[in-house]
Amino acid sequence: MLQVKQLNKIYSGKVATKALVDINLTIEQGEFVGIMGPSGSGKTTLLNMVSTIDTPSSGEIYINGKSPQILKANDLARFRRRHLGFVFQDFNLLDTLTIAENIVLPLTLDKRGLREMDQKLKTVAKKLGIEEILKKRTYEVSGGQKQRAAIARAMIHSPSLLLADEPTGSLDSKSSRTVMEMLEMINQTEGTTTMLVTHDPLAASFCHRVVFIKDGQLYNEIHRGDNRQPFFQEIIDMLSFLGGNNNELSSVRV
Amino acid sequence: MNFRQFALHNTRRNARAYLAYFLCSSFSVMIFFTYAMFIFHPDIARNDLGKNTKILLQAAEFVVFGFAFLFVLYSISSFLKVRSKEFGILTILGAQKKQLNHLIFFENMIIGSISILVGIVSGILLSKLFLLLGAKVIDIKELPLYFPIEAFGLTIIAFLALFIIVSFIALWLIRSNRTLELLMGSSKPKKEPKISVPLALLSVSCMIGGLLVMYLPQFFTSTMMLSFLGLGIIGTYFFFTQFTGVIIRLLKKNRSFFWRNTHLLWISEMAYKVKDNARMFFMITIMTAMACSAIGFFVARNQEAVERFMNSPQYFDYLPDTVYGVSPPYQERDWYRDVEKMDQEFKKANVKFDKAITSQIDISFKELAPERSSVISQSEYNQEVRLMDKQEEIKQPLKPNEAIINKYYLKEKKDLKKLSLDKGNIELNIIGARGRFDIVVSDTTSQQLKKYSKSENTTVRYHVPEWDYKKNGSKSLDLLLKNSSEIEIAKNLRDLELKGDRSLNTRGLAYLRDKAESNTSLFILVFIAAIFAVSSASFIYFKLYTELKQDQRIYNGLSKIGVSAKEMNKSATIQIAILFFLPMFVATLETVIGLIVLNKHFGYKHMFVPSLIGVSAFFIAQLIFFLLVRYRYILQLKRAMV
Repeated sequence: MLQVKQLNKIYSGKVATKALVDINLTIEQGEFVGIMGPSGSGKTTLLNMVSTIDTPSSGEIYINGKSPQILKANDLARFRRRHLGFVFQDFNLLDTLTIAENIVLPLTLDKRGLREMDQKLKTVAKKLGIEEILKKRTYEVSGGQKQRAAIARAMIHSPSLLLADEPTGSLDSKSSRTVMEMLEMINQTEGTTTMLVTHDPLAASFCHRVVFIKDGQLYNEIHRGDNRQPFFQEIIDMLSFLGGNNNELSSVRV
Repeated sequence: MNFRQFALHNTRRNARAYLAYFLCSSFSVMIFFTYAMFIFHPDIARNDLGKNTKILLQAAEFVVFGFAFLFVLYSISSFLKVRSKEFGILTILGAQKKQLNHLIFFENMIIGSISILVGIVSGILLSKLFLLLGAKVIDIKELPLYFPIEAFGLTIIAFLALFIIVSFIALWLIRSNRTLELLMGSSKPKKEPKISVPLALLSVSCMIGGLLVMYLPQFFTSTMMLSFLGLGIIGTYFFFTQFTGVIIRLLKKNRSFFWRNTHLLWISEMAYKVKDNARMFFMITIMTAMACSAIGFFVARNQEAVERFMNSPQYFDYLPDTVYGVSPPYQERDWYRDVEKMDQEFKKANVKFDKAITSQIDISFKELAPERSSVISQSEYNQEVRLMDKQEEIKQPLKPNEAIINKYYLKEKKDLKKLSLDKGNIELNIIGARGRFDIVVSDTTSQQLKKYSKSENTTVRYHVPEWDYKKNGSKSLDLLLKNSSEIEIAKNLRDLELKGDRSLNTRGLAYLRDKAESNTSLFILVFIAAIFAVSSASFIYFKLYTELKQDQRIYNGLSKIGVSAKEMNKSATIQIAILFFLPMFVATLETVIGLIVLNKHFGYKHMFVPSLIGVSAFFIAQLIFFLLVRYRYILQLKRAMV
């Protein structure tokens, strides 16, 4: 489904910064993958490359076997709204629109029929449990509801790849859990391939697999077993391991 | 870095945002200064034309100043609102309320002082051009350059006061005690604008009521006129504040339109943008409509002056004096020197002329009381009518007890046969009626009547046969006058500084006066209209600029979910176009209605073309500003898109 090959990103400037070095990553159809790493490790850069809003310095990205890098700006926009779904930390909902209008926005840009839009809106709103707030404005609903609306917007056109950038970053723990459960449910029922970038170990514990990045390089990856609780623990261990000094920790372990 | 330097840096680094505001303020200062330069010019009050111009310019000065005040106030307060986050940060860092006020005040004064400076300097640079143009427009001798110390003083004092007062008002407007509120600032989501359907309906009914003015009888009172103007103004106000909102709401309800393409983006944004700018739209619309109608009105008056000129007889009337009591012969009166001087002028210009000096006695007959009539002697009557209308001559000498009266007396009193005086033993038989002068009597009777009259008015009338332009009427009047010496002589005679308590009365000077009045008004109006155009563009630019950061953030997010640059371009273009052209459109409609009304009231024929030229000039100016603003805005948004 998603293939990243020998991806490099170098930010040139007075001091050239290697943001990503030789990244190879494959995500299978229907997989739910988390990307974690300390701040500045390059996980958001990786997400930007995959989501076609930034171009790699070298290497290739294939989504469904197609390479979006070669597309022109307008085709790229169309590619994004047909094949990708986005969920942001700050929701990015328009204050000028109602929740329903926000959700159907990508479809209106694609000039879909009214009946089709209504039907899709109804299905997705029901699935995410936001039917009652469809007519409300963004400032009248809670953060968790906003994020669910944002997920609905990302899902309404059944994208092949759902990208979530810190979706629980501005939510309280209860809303975070609900939002993650929604993402997991969508992944299971729709089979949508999902890539999640997060700091939050609890959010990451909903994934099938978590990939760790450090200083622009793939560091490690861990898979989830049947149970989420030990997986959560594993992630926390991994994070504390990443956060400390390598030599110190490895000497303790040996 | 001290506090002042901080303020200075703030202004400098916000230069791009302040640019349009600054340019517009400078432009207003420049126009204000230029008018002041005319008003205080030592030469301008030398003659009547200059005096009238001065009054008009003084009125214009108030308009410019009032408008500049509103403009500066509006711009500053909206800019401060956007910067409230910055003030919040400063408050957190421990800045006192007093210091913040000081900062804002200081920043405003920096921009204010610079725009005063730039305005005055550009005014001076263009002064030669303006004086030349101004003198040409009001047709007086070229005004020499002078050192306009009073104009400097007035401009600097007026605008410094303006900026100081506006700074205080602005501070009062943004007062807010809670730091959190400041920090949240403009990033707070805006509530949906409130719209009242009854008020929208009121707007429509006011407009329709205003339209009914076209079906009024030809002559209506000025109270009616004013009430229609009032209806129009109320209608326009609620049109922008309420009616547009209702339209947008209806558009939103029509989902098959609203949920399509980029409509969702721009229509929803429009609801806010129109509501935010409604008052400004209202002001600009009313001002533009008035300026354009007035332009048409004055151009039409110019045309009318031409026609009046063509239809007036080619006389030069000099009304030297009114004598009370005994009257010496003409040659012995002190104004006779002037008449000789005037004769000289005609001879110098090689123009053939006829001259008639006539006196009319002011007297009250019993039969015509309480009206007073003017009596003229037969010989002078004949002298006078021979100038123009030889058929009117009374060839047969009148007897002492005979009189010929004007026809209009017979219209009122059909059985009028005799005229008599209270005093003296005078009784006159009416033997006929003519179309000129009140009453004609024999020369001897006229001498007799002088005893019973209170006063006698003398007129010296010159008639120049060759100034009858009707023969070659196809040419334009200005061209004809160029080849003729009429205006030249009229001006020379005016400048003779004639004696006598009444001055020269000629169609040439009347034409010059009419033309100067309309031209001056046009001259002023064009500049005022230019100020409106520039400031409306500046308002819109300023508004867009203050919301740019927020819009960039929104479009950054939108581009991630697949809004292309092309779609953004389309949505932004429609929005900016509506901001620029909606007021323009309404103003054009109102101008047309205004002209129809003026046309009915004054019967001027030539108003539409010039007004439409005015409107088109406005339109072209707006189009240029629109393209510039759109280009910059879209460039900035594109930068935010990924």
